[in-house]
Amino acid sequence: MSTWKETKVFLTRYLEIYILVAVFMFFGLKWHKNKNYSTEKLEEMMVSVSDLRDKTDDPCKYSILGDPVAAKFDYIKVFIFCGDGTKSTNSMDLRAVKEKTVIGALRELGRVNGFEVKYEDNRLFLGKYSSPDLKCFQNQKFVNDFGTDIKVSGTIECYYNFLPKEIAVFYEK
Amino acid sequence: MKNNRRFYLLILVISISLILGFKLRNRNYNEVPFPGESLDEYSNSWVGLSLIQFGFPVGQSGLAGYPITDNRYINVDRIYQGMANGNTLQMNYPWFDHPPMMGLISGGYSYIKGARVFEDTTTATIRKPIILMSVVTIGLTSILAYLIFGWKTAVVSSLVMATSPLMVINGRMVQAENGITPLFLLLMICLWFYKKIRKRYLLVLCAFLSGMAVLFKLSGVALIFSGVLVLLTDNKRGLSVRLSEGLIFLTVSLSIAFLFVVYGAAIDFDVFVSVFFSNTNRAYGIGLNAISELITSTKVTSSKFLGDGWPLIGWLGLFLLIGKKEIISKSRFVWIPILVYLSVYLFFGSESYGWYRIPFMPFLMIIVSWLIVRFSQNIKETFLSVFALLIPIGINVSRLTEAHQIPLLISTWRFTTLIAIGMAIVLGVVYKPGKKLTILIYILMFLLFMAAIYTNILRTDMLSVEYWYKAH
Repeated sequence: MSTWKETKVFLTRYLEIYILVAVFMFFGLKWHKNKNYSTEKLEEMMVSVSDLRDKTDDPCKYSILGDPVAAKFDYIKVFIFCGDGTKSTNSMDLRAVKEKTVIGALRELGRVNGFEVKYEDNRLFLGKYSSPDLKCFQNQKFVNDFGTDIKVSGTIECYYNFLPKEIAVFYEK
Repeated sequence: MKNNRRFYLLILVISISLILGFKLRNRNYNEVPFPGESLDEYSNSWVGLSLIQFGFPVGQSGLAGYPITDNRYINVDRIYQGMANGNTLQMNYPWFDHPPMMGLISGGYSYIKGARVFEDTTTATIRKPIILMSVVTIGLTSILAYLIFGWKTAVVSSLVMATSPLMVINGRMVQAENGITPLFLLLMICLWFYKKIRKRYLLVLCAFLSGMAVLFKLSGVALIFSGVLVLLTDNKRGLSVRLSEGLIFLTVSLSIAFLFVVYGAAIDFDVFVSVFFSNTNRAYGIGLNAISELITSTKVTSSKFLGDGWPLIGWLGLFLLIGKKEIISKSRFVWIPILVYLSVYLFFGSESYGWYRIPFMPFLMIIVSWLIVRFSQNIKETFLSVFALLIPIGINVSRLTEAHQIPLLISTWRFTTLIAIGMAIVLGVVYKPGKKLTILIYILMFLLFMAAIYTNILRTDMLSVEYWYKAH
């Protein structure tokens, strides 16, 4: 058999097997996706905090460093002052905060930085700190209802164990 | 008998290189480069993890062409307390920036180690299989060097690949190029054996390897072009035979590469096509001075450089190698991959990330090693071997003295260079040495090479978190 004939025979056989493999792969992938994919599973995969990551009860232990430049004006600043001289300063991209309320932003911050956030019976818990000693303000207005909508490009500040006159000093500055 | 001894020496040195290479790559591998310095590392792994768990690739992109862009904080390795610089991750799905093979390796390994959510894919986990691949690359480099240039070049190349600071750092990163590189070497080795044995199964294997490279990244198409060129330039075969071999190679390799399209069609063909065309419209990020930058600078990421003299010697040696007509045929297994990948690198040109250069490195290191052992083939070319060593030693010593003031190192450098260059000039121009002087030259060259490897190891040892903060 000449080289070209041998080549033709080989390629024909190869392509027959290849097409079978490709079809099997195509339907196999489709089946795997249809059987296993859901938006809930995807959400869980993206938002779940790893067991490998350290958790903390101190909301001032970590900050989100840097500014979300890509967000342009769609951001919120969140500051937490813990009363022992420590603080957490964060600029958050609002596009990543799915629940656009004050508590939604705090929950997302807690998830990223690794502390628990709870809002029960009108009481706020940020890690080991809770109201009434924990007071939060949005754009310098006291937050009574944490279901209040976020003010875009605004600031949320939470103070733990600060007297009103001490908080006032911050706003004078 | 002599050949047996050389063979055992080669095996011994390669084994030592593999162990040394592994230890150097493994040392603080999860800290340097910094976690989050390239978010591609996590994105690759997320693609694999999501594919394995629910058959739908999810990764970080930001390219146009995706119907869904989902901004998220995924604080893996606490990147938001470090390298992420405050910006959220632009998650796109289904993700089609690149083929999924690297993701399946790093994501698959993470899955085996218990990762189930994206935050589980820490650098401590995902970089491990890459280190293994990088160590395999050391072995494959020395095998290819042995086949083309002999045991001395193989010995030298294994030690250089194992200890070069740039290879060590690059060999940790979860980048597709770390998957393409061992395949590139395997392809050349496979083609070498095909040239000797001429069995069709080998040709099909070679083609399979080159198609697989495309399933890591589209720039893996360089392997297909290289394979075809190596086959077509085999002057010992008739044209019709070469053309039929080329056709078989092309058909098999392109069909394997086409599996990326099958994968895209199975998941979402519209988005696949849209992203593919969006990819083709990327800005030409490497710039028109790409070639000079490639030769003169040694990037690790987009902004971090790590001074390393070995690639520069490789690039300079490439011109010498191509000029050597007596070995141009066998050396094509080295210069064809470099030139073909260079064409692909310049053609794609999307960004000037350091990891895009990884596939050049083993071939450049083979050329470096060839230069270093030149003196043993022709004593009058000792100056080539001397310069091939002095430049990397000099760069290593300068970095070491920046970090630690070691006056003894500077004095040693001064006298060593004086002796080495003086010896090279004398040998090149004036004198034909006798047996005793030849032995002395061999000893001096051996010491010079050992100094190069030792300074490599000292430099690599310096690569701590503190050092990496200051690196630019």
